[in-house]
This record gives sequence, structure tokens and C-alpha cells, in this order.
Amino acid sequence: MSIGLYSASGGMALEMKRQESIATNIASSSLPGYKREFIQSSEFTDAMYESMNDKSEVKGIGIGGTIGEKKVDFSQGALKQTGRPLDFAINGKGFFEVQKDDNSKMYTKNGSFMLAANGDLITSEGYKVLGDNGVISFNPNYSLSDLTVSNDGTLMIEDKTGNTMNSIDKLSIINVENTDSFKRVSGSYFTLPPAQGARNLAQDANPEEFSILNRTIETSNAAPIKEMVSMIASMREFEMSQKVLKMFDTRFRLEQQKLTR
Amino acid sequence: MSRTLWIAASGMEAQQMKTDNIANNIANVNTQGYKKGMIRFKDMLYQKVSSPGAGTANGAIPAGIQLGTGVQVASASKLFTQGSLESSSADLDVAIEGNGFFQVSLPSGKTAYTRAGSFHMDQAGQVVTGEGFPVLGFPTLDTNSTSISISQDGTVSSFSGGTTSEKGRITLARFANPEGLSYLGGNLYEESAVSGSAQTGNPSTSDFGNIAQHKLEGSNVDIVKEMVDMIAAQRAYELNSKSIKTADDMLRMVAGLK
Repeated sequence: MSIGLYSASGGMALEMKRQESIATNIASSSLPGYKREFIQSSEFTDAMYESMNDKSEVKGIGIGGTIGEKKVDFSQGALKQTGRPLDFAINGKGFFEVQKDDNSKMYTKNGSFMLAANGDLITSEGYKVLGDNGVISFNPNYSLSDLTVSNDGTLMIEDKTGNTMNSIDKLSIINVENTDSFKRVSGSYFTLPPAQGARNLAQDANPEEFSILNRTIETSNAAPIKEMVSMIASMREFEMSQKVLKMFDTRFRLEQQKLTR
Repeated sequence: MSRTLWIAASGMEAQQMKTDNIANNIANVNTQGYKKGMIRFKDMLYQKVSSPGAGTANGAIPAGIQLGTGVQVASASKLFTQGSLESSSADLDVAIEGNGFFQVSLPSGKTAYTRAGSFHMDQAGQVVTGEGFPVLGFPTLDTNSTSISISQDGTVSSFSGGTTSEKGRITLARFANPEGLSYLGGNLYEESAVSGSAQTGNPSTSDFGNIAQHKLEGSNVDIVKEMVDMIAAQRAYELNSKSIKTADDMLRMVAGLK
């Protein structure tokens, strides 16, 4: 069988995977803090030229359509005011730090938090939100409607009697220089391999790289135009590969008819 | 079968739920004491297509391929911001400015909580809601009183036969996390594990708001916001349907190969 047949089918398989990525971006448009994903495939022609110029070794010429790395686009999403006391958004760099039940840490831009029955600040999936003093927890005597949050992520409850602010904790905002180090584990959550130089931006004296907004969420950064254009391009690639496949099919049939007599 | 179809379907369902919620909010834009509903989403588990570090013809993939399977509803709760106050002439029409809920006794014996303060007096002088549920924390009134006056701190005085007498003070309840209250319908809420236990107290004290007599709290639905959300939901629904159509076209091409 011809290699070209498998190349074309590999191309089709790749485009179907790309469509799934695009569909995920579109379906996740209501997820706060969602960062769009895209599949970066290695270039067929690059691989081919490489092996043409370097005759000592024939590099795999995109057999099966190379599926390269899945990348995440970390650009800032639009900010939307919701009025909900436990909605937080980061304007700028950095991620919220959350902890799973097994004490492993994950990072997210999704700041739409809730209160657990024991007063812990948790995400919608149940992960605990971390601050300077560990898991952030609210005293049941406080009223969430009195919550105020400063730009650097310090959570305070206004005390009506004494006119003072009771500081609860400060949100941990973690960032690394190279955001590609973040590995996606689910729609809004990322993990960091150890020793990446992760820094808690909130502990800077005058944080400039971010500000925390309260009663606001960061919407998905998947722009409809980009997704639609990707969808159209991918679809036509798919169609072209399909035409190539059909050509091979015709050719094999003709060969078989003409040559086996 | 193409995962795209299921991912896009979950996206459309999510937008449908959003639109349902918006429609409910708009329908209740004039309901007294109504608190706007909010739907929040969380992502669904990822399926691993190939693990990080798995090899291909070109070497290992560091990040692997993990494709999402859409979104699901995280919570459908109420937003407890203050509604605007509308004037009324009835003596027992009260609104709370700030924190707190009125306590209502249900026939089942449980206590429910509400912000809707359109109350009446029954034959025994007890203050009841429009449905006839007794309002707890309200002093009993004289059946022959001609007018009732309620001050900001909840002190109830009744004027009958030329004399004014103080009847007592209103008690309100508050919760650490009102968003966690379960909604029973008819503007009544019930305590739940997540809302925290009800803490009672008088109006105008540290954590409670003031009582405003001759006022009713309107709905806190902002119609402009709802319309904008509705437009966004509609377009997102449309986009998701395009994903489905594309997946369908692709599958048709695959089927048409032979």
C-alpha cells in the first residue's frame, strides 16, 4: 500500500482531533477562567526537507500525520462583573493555587469559588483555595456580603461595630516565567512540575503584575472568530485529505483492473 | 464516534440551562423579594488520549494529548444583593435594608426564611404571611389597633383607642453563606449544611440591616444584564451547533469515502 494513503488518513485523523479541540473551546465558553487549547502539528514539509538534505538518515515523513504538542493560549480573557461575593478574577499574570484531597497543588484562573460546609473556600469541583496561611477559611460569624478584597488579594470582612477590617487571609497568586511549563489536567486546572521557579506574586511588596478583582470573573479567552476560522480551515484540510484518499482508492482500483488480467 | 459531537452537545445544554435561568429571572423582574438565580459551570473530566511522555514516530510527546469532554453545571443558586425598595401604604409591609431574613414557621414545623415582607394580621393578632404562615420573631399585636408603627430597629408599636403601646421588637435571622440556602419556592428559603446555621438577632445591630416600614423590597434582577447575558447565551448556543454541524459534515465525508 502506498505511504501516501496513510499520510492522507493521518491528516484526516489530525483534523478530527483539531475539531475536538475547537469544539471544547466553544463548549467551554461559559467556564470562568478557561484558556483555549490548540493543536500544533509538526510540519510535514519541514520533516521532508530535513530528510532530503540529510541523506544519512531518513526521518519519518509524517506517517500517520504527526500529532504534535497540544498548546494552551494563556492570553487574558474579558472580565465580567457578577456581583457574587465569592467571585474573583486575576487581571494580569498569575494563577490561583488550589489543593486537592491528596495535598497536591493545582493552578487555575477560575476564581468562581464557593463555601464548603466547614467554612473552607473551595472551587466548584471541591478543591481548597490556598492563601498565605494555608487553606482559606471563613468564620461562620461573618457575613459574606461584608467581604472586601484589596488589589493584592487580601480578603477582609468589614466589622460594622468597631469600624475595623478583620483580615482573613491573602490569596496565593502563583506564576512562572515560562507559562508553557503549566500542564493542563482539566478544563480550568493546571499542574506545575517541581523546580520551575514558581513565585507567589502576592507576596511582593507592591505587586504590579496583577490585580485581584472581586465580584468579577474572567471569561473564556476563546474568541468566536478565531474558533470559527480554525474550524473552517480544519474542515477544508479534512476535505482535501479525503479527496486525496479517494484519488488513491481510484488509482488502486484502476491498477487492479488494468494490471490483473 | 466523533467526540466533537458530545463535547458540543454538552456546550449547547449548558447554554440552554443558562437561557432557562435568564428567562426565569426576566419573568420575575417585578416579583417582590425575588432574588436572581445564577448558574455556574465547571469543567468535566478529561479523557486521556495519550499519556504525557508517550512516544510517536517523531519522539515523545511531553504534554500528551488530553481532550476535554465539555462542561457541566456546578451550581444553581441565588444572588442575595439588595433589591430596590418600593413604597406601599399597608402598615405591615416591611422590607429589610441590609442583612437578614424574616423567619416564617411552616405547617411542617420547620422554619423557613424570606425577604418578602408583605405581612398581614390574623384574628388572633398574630402576624402572618400572605399564605397564612406565622411570622416568627414578630410580637403579637392588638386586634383592635388602628395603626401600627415599626421603627428602623424593629420596635413595633400599635396605636389603638388613643394610646400607643410598644409591643416588642422584631427578630431577624442571618446566615454566613446565604448562597447555600435551599430554595423552597414562594420566596421561602431553608437552612442547609452549606449555608451555615441561622443566627438570630435584632435589626440595626452589628450584623443585621434596618427595617423599613411601608416599603417592599423589589426583585434584584437587572434587566439590562439579563438581556446581555441572553444575547451571549444565544450566540454561544449557535456556535456550539456549528461544531455539531462540522462534526456531522466530517463524518459524512468519512462515510462517503467508499
